[in-house]
Amino acid sequence: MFVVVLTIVSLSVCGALALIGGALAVTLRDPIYAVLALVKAMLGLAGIYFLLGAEYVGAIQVIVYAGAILVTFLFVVMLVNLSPEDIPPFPRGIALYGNLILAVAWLLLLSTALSAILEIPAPEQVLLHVEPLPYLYGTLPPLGKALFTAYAFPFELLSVTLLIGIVGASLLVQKRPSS
Amino acid sequence: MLQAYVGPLILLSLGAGIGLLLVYAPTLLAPRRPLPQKMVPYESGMDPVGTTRQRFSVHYYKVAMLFTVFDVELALMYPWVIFFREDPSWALLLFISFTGVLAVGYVYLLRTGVFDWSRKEL
Amino acid sequence: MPIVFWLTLGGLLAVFFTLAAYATLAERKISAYIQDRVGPNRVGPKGLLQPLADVLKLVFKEAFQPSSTYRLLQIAAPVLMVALAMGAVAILPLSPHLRLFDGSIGLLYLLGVLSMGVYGISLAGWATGSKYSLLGGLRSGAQMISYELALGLALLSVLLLTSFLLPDANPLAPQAIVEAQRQGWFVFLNPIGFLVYVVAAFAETNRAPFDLVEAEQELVGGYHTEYSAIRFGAFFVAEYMNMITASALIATFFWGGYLGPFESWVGVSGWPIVWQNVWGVSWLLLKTLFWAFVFIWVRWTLPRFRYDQLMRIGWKVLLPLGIANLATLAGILLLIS
Repeated sequence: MFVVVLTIVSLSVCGALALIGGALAVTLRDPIYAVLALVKAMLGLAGIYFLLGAEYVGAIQVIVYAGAILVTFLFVVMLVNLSPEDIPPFPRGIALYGNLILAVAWLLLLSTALSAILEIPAPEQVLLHVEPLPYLYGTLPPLGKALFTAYAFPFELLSVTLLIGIVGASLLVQKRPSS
Repeated sequence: MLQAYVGPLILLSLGAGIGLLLVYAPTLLAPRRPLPQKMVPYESGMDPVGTTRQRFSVHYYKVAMLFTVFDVELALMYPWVIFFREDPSWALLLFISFTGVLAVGYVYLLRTGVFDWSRKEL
Repeated sequence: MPIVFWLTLGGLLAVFFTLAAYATLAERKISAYIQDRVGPNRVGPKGLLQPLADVLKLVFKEAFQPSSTYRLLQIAAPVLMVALAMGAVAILPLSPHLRLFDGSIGLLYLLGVLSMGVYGISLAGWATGSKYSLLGGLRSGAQMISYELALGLALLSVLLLTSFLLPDANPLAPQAIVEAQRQGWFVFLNPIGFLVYVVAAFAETNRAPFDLVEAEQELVGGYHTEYSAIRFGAFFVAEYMNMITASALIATFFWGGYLGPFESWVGVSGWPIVWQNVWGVSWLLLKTLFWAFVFIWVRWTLPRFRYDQLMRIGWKVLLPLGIANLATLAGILLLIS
């Protein structure tokens, strides 16, 4: 029982982190704080993935989103150096409604997670069920198997996507030929 | 399952606690004598010229973008390493074709000279 | 949590703090002897109490923030650095029976912690509004992400070997990596991966010859130019903690971790568990100390790279080398199987 309560509490904390972080990222006027709020949102999401047992997805969320993509954002903020005055203030009414919607969304998320957890028959049964395959559930081996056999072609197509990313990144920062 | 993360969580929070202790120690223990000269960012003892909040070389941004692309590739390689022992030849074929496509992009990057920073751009 | 866990945690912390504190003294002593000086020798016998004196001095100094500072961010950055430096140690397996972390993601946890480190240094550089700091922070950000790729590739080659040698284990678990090395340390099986990893580890810890972040001739102090008193000390502590962790990780991934040489010949696995633990921890400690010494030795021997050279090494040498090494290794393993 203690584990279930702990899971619910952690889930709601992580969900709140993610939602508040996302809301702050849109509403904060200082770009550096907005980026950091987005980092917080990503970490909250990663926490949710971890708690739901998708540990690989959670780790990738931290490594790729928080550790790579948002670093790109941080660099933009550091290089362009916008000040809060450069950014138009957020209309007040929208912020209020946005927060209301977020609160409802958080409750929905929480209740879904809650019902999902309460449907599990009993903690000791769950533990019995999980124990024989401690690293198989929600982690790499089944994922790798699916990704490299059934989804091998989409996986290969992903490399083309990344290629486009490479070319795009280098075109984006190239000097225009001064004609 | 959560039990596995108790150790890292304890260490991380202990580290944060020690960090906070260190950072706030001077507020409790140290003297505070602000002077106008002290409050200026250091610039070799001169008055600062202009402001720091200005635009800098875009090359740092470029590195960050390319890092993102290759980091995604790395993230996909972790399941690959584990899949390798199930079907080595198929896995190697996938790896070579995947990396081959990326290698085209890499050669393109080399040709455009993205990795050769001139000294002006630092 | 079993009592063994808490004992391990306490022991690890005690050893880790002592090592980090005395690494600062070792750095000054070794650099002194390399430069034909004596080094600090006033506080305590042979200067052994110097780290304590340093901390006491720094704690009672004034910590001021320039008026252009983002105060909250400037304070948060060193806290983040210390937290991450301590969090990374959790990954180490200390002996066949002692470890703190048993999650299925294993090494990905380490990579996550490393990838968060960029924020600490970049924010520290950006927050104070000093030009030197900003340049230091930007440089270190770009450097750390560039070499993270090489580090990841070297780790992938380690994982590939582990997954091949121990088909039943979870290769991401650091424990499995060490156990796989019973058949031969990875420094011999995977020498190119070792080379790439060591270079990347030096760059990730921002140590010479990759300490462009605080290149004092051009950037004064780099990202911590505007930090004073123990707030600077926090970065200093985090740097030496990172150095110790990096040394221990090199030992774990490539030098057999807690395995001693001729392990099967000595017959360690027949010993009582307590003695197995003592044996394992001692070897890990010995290897860590050796690599910490190498870190210091390199710093006072090699000149610093220029920034364009640094970028070229990372992207044009280490990245292709890492991928080629991974492909070659996979090919060889395919032939063997």
